[in-house]
Amino acid sequence: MSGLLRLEHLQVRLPIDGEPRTVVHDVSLDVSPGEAVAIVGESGSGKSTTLRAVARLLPPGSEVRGEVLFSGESVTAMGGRALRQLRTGGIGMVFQDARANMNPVRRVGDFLVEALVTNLGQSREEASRRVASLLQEVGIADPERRLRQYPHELSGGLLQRVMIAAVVAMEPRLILADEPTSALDVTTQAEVLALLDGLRRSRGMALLLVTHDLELAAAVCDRTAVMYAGSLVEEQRSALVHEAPLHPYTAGLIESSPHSAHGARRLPVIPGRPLSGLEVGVGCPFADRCAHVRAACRVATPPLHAVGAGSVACLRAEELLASGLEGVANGC
Amino acid sequence: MYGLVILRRAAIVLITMLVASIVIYGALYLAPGGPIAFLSSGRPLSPSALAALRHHYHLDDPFLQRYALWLWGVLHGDLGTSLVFRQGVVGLLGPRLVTTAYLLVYSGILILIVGNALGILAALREGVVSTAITTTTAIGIAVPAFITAVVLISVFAVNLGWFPVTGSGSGFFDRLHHLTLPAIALALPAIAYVARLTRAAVAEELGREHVQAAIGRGIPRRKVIYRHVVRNAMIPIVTVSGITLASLVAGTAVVETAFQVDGLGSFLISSVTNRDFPVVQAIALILVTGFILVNVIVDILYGVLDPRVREAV
Amino acid sequence: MSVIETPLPPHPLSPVIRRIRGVDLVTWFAVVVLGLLALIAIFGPMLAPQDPNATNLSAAFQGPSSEHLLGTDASGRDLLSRLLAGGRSALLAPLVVALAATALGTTVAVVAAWFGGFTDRALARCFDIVFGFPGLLLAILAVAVFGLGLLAPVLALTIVYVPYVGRIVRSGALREVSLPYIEAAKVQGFSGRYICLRHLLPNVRKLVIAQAVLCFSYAVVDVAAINFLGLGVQPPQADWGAMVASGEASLIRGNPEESLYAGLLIVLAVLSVSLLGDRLLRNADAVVL
Repeated sequence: MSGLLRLEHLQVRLPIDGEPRTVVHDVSLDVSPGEAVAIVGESGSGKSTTLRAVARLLPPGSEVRGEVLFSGESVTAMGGRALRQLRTGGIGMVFQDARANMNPVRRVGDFLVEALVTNLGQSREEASRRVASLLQEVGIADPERRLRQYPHELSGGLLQRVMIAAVVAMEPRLILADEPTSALDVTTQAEVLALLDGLRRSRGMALLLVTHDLELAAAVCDRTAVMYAGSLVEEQRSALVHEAPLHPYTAGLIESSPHSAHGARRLPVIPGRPLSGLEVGVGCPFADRCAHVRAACRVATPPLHAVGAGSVACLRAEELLASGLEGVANGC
Repeated sequence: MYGLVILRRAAIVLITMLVASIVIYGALYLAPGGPIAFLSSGRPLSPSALAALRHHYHLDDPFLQRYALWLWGVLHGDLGTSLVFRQGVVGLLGPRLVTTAYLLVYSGILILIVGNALGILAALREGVVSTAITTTTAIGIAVPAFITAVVLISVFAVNLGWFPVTGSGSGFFDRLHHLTLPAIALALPAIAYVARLTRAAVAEELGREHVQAAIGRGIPRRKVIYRHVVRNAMIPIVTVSGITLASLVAGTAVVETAFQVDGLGSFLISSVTNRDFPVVQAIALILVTGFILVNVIVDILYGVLDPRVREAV
Repeated sequence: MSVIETPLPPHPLSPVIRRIRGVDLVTWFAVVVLGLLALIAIFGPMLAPQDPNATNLSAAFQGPSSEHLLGTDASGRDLLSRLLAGGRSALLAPLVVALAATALGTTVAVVAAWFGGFTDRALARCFDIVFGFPGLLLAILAVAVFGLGLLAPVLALTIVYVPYVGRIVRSGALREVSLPYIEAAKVQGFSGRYICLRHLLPNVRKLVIAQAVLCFSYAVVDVAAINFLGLGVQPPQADWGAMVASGEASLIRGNPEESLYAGLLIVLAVLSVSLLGDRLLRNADAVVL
């Protein structure tokens, strides 16, 4: 398999109150060229940290174990020059809050051409022409005027389009998107996401999308990976996640989602409170909230293993799949 | 649109200056004893002599009339006559103004360069460098300029003999030689203050998301620091540096007295001690004008540096 | 398998900070120095071994001896006695400034925050106008008007420092006023005065104390400068700031003791007070609006 990005047992420890604490426990994942993969999880699941580890954008004092390979090269071992090269043409990152991620005292145009001029050595005029046409492509009218404006003069939706244009301009092979639309209102969300998806498809770029929204993940991505408490618990084709979830947690997420077609009078809830990666002990992290828990679940952390076309980190996965997994419904 | 803003700003400055001049003139008008106490040197005067004096100095005219007369003179470059030296205040102030301006510019340059460099360095180099700068500046702020002055005189002028003990010199290089220690004494507390606030401002900008994002876009660290971190930190730094420079105006009085430099500041002190009112009024007016002008310049720079402010004005 | 380990950045003062009873060493240093200086300010004149003003020209510029532990000044006066006697004006005058400015600033700030609207805007504007005006310059001009002595500078400095307290306390009080419990107290029919004294003030007290201490440190510098300039206390009365000035003549002759000892005491006072103020302010987690 000719993977573009490969995570092997990624473990991340972040300095919290001066002490390194494990936020991501075990994530293994492949992204092929041109493929779109989603990482879905609740806040604290470590999904954003995983993404930032790929771009090596972790705070100072962080420790990374395991391996991050980008077209066969180890990202964790990269020095300054290789790292800059990776960030220049290899990966591009779309952040959640575009406004916070753009320098407020520089013009939108400066933001867009900065990387083209600095890293690709293009002339300012050349770069300006290029970003102007890109802005039109991302649906921004009157690009010449927008380029002269400052970020505070643009709406959040427009800024996210600018951010996407900036990323696409660099023609990266992989786009990392960290909740790119959750700061926007619902109608803009769909537009911006469709835009991102269209642009990357037409240019053959791969996408690693981090989101808390299973529906959204399924709409845009070929495959979906689910994270819980710092570990990957399930990964399979997006289309199948809804029909045949492999992990009880995923099943619970689907049932408690307002989009689900169960027509229940009351939305079922997963009992208990989501754990963050910081709080994990031995055994399956989901054990305390799982309707199907057995004593064996609490002895050792279940490894991610192949089931059908996907993989799952649950001891009883095969057994539950055969009996038709229902997450929490029987618990309610 | 922008012209209107400038007009409004200019009007505010003019009004502030007018108010300041009324306060300065009025305060000394109210002073117990007034100029008569000085002119009579405490000796009892005959009523006719007193009346003559009062008439000569327009002391019997109503306040507004006297103020208007004074202001009219000021606007025509006539700052009155010194009671002590019995000559025009303008002639007395001219050379001293040059000395003080020299001193202010000299230490201003020291403050901006050294203070900002130390602050930026402390923010970027965690560890020993940062600790050293933070500790030194914490102590530096606590040492008043006149104490730095006596230490500098003792070490570099008296013991090492590198610099003259007193005086202001003549000619550019001689002045530079004479005013080096005073400029350092004046600048040191301000350098420490500016360095600390610069450090804080740069450290805050370093932690911002857009800085991380720029690094994530593969922009070289040096460029990120120069274009995004320092550039954005300039906004608070300019404000702080400006306020600090404006406050130097009062510091000149102390430092010039300590080094016996014959400038505006030391002249203000001796005139206050001698109750030479026209001179005090004139110097106060000049110093307050300088203070207001520096603040205006800072305000304008602020707008130039921060597009969000420019918008709001 | 590879590991990237970036060492955690050390705390800037980690080698220095050792905690004793939960309070770091720097704070202890500040408190102890301050206590000693307070003792000098209160009991100093009584502790002076000799008359601080007794001149003896034949004993001028003496080094330390059993008779004069720190030596003598240009007029043969005992330096130790003068240093002990000189703390009063150097510390008590700034204390008066700090207390008066704090009382005035806090009152105005709480009134502004409580009434809000036009009152608040007007008072805040006043703070802005006075804020940043060099205190020393106003103190010098005050001397020009009212004559030599510490009274005029103390009044002038008080006015200049009111906004230092007022601005920061106002922002704290505004935050407090917006909290629901104040509304609840109003609904219960308590008077504005009662709510301000009982709820508002206690909740901004950390800010008030921190700002008062910082003001004290600024005032020590300014008062010392006024005395150094000869505009405050008049000879022969001993004062640290004035001694830095009177010692300059002997310093130029190679006897820097008088200036340096007096200067050192001033620096110690300013350093300990400002360190304490910084820590108190950090503790009060001030947010300036």
